[in-house]
Amino acid sequence: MKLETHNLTKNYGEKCAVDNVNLEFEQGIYGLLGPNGAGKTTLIKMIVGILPPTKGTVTLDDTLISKLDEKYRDLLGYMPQDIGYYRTFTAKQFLEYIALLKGLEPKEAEKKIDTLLDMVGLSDAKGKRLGQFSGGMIRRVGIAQALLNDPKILVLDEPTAGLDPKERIHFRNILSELSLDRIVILSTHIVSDVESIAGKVILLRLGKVITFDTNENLLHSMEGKVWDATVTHQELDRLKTQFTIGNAFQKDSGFEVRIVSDVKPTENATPAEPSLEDVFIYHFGGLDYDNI
Amino acid sequence: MTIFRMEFHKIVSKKYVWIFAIVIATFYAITLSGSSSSSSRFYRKALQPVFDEVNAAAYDPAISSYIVEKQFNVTVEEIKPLLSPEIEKTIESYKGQTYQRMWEKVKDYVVNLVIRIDERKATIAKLEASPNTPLNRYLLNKYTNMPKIQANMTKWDSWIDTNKSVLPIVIAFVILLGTSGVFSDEYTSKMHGILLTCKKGRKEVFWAKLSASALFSAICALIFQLLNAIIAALYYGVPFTNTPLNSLTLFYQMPTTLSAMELYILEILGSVVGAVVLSFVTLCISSICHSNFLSFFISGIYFAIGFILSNALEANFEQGGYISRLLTLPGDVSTFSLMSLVNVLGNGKVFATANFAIPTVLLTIVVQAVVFVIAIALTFYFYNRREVIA
Amino acid sequence: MKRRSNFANLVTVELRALLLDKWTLMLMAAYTLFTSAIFFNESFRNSRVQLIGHNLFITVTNHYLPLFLILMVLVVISPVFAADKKDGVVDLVDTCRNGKVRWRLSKVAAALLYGIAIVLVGFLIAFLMSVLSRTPLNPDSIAFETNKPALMLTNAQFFVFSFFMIVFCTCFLVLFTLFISSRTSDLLIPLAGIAMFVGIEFAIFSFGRPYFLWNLNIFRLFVPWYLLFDSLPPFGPAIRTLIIILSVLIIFSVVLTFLTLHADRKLVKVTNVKKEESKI
Ligand SMILES: Nc1ncnc2c1ncn2[C@@H]1O[C@H](COP(=O)(O)OP(=O)(O)O)[C@@H](O)[C@H]1O
Ligand SMILES: [Mg+2]
Repeated sequence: MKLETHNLTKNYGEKCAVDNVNLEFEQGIYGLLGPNGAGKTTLIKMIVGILPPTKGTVTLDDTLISKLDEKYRDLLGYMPQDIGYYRTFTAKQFLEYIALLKGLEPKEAEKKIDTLLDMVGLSDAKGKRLGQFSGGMIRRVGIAQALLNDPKILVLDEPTAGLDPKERIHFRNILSELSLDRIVILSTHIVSDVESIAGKVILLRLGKVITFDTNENLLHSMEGKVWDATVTHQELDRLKTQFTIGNAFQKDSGFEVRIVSDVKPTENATPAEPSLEDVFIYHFGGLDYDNI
Repeated sequence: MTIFRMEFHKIVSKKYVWIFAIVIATFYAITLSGSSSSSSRFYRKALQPVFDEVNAAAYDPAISSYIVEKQFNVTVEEIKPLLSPEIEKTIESYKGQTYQRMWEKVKDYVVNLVIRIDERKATIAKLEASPNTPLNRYLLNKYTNMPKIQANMTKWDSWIDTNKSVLPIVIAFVILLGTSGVFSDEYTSKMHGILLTCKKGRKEVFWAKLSASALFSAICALIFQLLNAIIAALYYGVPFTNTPLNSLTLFYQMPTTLSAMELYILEILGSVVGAVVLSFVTLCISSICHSNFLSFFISGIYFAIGFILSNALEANFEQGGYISRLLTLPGDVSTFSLMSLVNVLGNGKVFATANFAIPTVLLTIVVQAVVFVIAIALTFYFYNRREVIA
Repeated sequence: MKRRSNFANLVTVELRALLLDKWTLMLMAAYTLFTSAIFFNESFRNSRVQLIGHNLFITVTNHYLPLFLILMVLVVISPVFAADKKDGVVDLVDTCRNGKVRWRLSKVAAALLYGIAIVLVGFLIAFLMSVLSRTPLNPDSIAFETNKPALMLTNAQFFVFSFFMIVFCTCFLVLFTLFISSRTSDLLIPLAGIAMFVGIEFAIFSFGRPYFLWNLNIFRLFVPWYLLFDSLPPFGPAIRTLIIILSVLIIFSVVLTFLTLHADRKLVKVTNVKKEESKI
């Protein structure tokens, strides 16, 4: 099974939200990483076939997804960034409804719904109306809904936004269990979401793919470019103007900072183990998102 | 549980639809009440047994020629001896003034009917003498094939008239309330993206929504027609017999061969079919708009324009006209007209050019069928192609 | 002093938003088009318009302007509070310094000013047309003289009278709309509610039944020339009828304003929950 995008482009008027994207997805988890406004959602909507591209195509095994239509959607599980729901439905009713739309047999759906509710930890709340759910609970319903038809292509747009740390870890575990023999595309602007589970990472910036590589390769490429240092306040200000700064913690002895740089930034800097976050910072520049 | 049932549930589970419907039904009943005076009801009922005698008298050549000779100015005393003794037998049980008034009424019915029969003959004669245009041929055909006019003693006027304007508006209002959110609510609740990516979320959901809305509107139309029938039965009483449409004051001299009951049944049918068409137009607008607010407003304007064109504006100038002009045609073929039918079908409206003359109601049906199909196609297109903003 | 200008600013911002709403502009344009068709296109006038009081100006302001006013109130005013609640802005605003009652008051004030403004513009347009088309009203002759009105007003007086009656009625409608709008977060409800209210009022007005409600009808004010004539008991002479109608409407308006201003959070919550249940 191979999902491909060919020259996929989306313009909103003058603005180019997704620019000539060529990607290839096979089995495994793909992390779509980019800051807010990078075009992740736009790209994902085109991949799941709910947004007509300005230019370019999406194919599954060399067939256009618009041609596959129902067959494609049968394989698809999608969780939108801004998940919709019916306030008057209970969680169970809602999932039953989606199961119906996905064409599941009622018996089979019943079982599946129970396991999924259990999996996302909502068994106790399944009789409650969605209008009374908290944001995190809604997202968990959203995850369950995407998994209902046991999709071969699972597309999740910022699935972890609004989840607490425990739920996040739980969610990551669910995903890594699922990743066998299916395509999972996961968009996020939070590096730690994809760090440990994504096999391949796509970095998206201003609608363009800037890197598309395996996790290891990305980390490998960063070796020798990541530094830790303890500096004073004045030094930090100076460093900020010259280098890309990651985390900075105030300690008794000054600031403990992480610096991403091709050269050694200061005397006392020590090389550090690169993480995916450093890759992100390397490409998108510290905390300053202004010109992204 | 099927998708259709879920979609239907989504429409009818909106509480405000029912609250509005109940309020409006109540006021409908209130405004209709007291619209027929009790005395006129009394006379109608009392004279019901002599219906056949009155008709027979007007068609009696001796009586009618006598009335025509007198230039339609006859008194009760003059005409009484000529009429069937059955009438006197029925009326004599009433005393005094009531007796007098009763006879006056009978005389009026007879004279009136003679006038109408006479006028129809004159119309036919005039048509035969006039140039042989498609319109004249059409009218002549209608007038000669009309059933015999009867005295206007039934209550069909009031029954048919309720469908003229208020009832279609009430039905339309509830339909708009129920269906204006069918698609736009999916957009506002941000379910659109999820629906579109489900296997059955496109075609099946689309058809389920369409048929659920159609069912809802049909039920609405039927419920309000039933309510209307109950109210009419209470206020006016049930007509005791069927009668040709031309016997009614409303449709006097209109080129139509229908009977009152046929028109009434067709009105109900038109009301249901029109309701479905209206709901599909609303769905179409709903699939374009991002909020039920807008789609309600715009579909309301769509319906209102049809209403104004075919009713309010025309009322002052062409009341009772049976020729569809270019000016009145937009109103005649509107969805409102299909829901009401009183104007186009009851008046037997006809559209004529130099080459042909056809009943306007056919045009109404054709136009509305086209609207129906276009609405479905556009709705499908917009539901599936609308950019998902979520 | 500062507070006051602050409030005025708030009102100005709201009012500008209402006046520049695309529906206001579109409906005003439609009204202008329609009026000019009546004044300048004879065939349209003869085929489509029923002349009232032998004067086009009276016809337009007493007969057709209310329709446009109602539409504008319906579509522009009904979202005033409901939209904010739907977008969750109310919670945010209520925590601001000028939140709660002051914020609501500014919206009510802006909406009322809007009501007055649209009537004013409507009258001005009709007046302009009437001057341009050289069919002006003779200001000194008695309005509806041939119909023997109970109140003898000159045309000029009647003109002022109609203006105030229509302004008054529009403001009442605005307040009613705001009231419904402040109690829901579904925009459809104020829209449909007011549409239904106006529809029922119109039905009562045109059928003349029930007589009591016919007299206390908003269309008595929207079509002010009716007020020049006497009514049957219990309303009686024209002046008395007028006083009764106005006082009833004023009482209603005050109550509605109060309820709108104090659609406080508790009430909001309650209606919200109800609505959540009814909305899918
Ligand atoms: N419907 C739209 N109309 C106009 N611009 C849009 C629309 N949707 C997204 N954009 C623009 O496209 C860019 C990408 O948006 P999006 O895909 O939502 O980013 P992300 O999901 O990565 O945060 C943004 O700059 C956004 O402003
Ligand atoms: Mg996004």
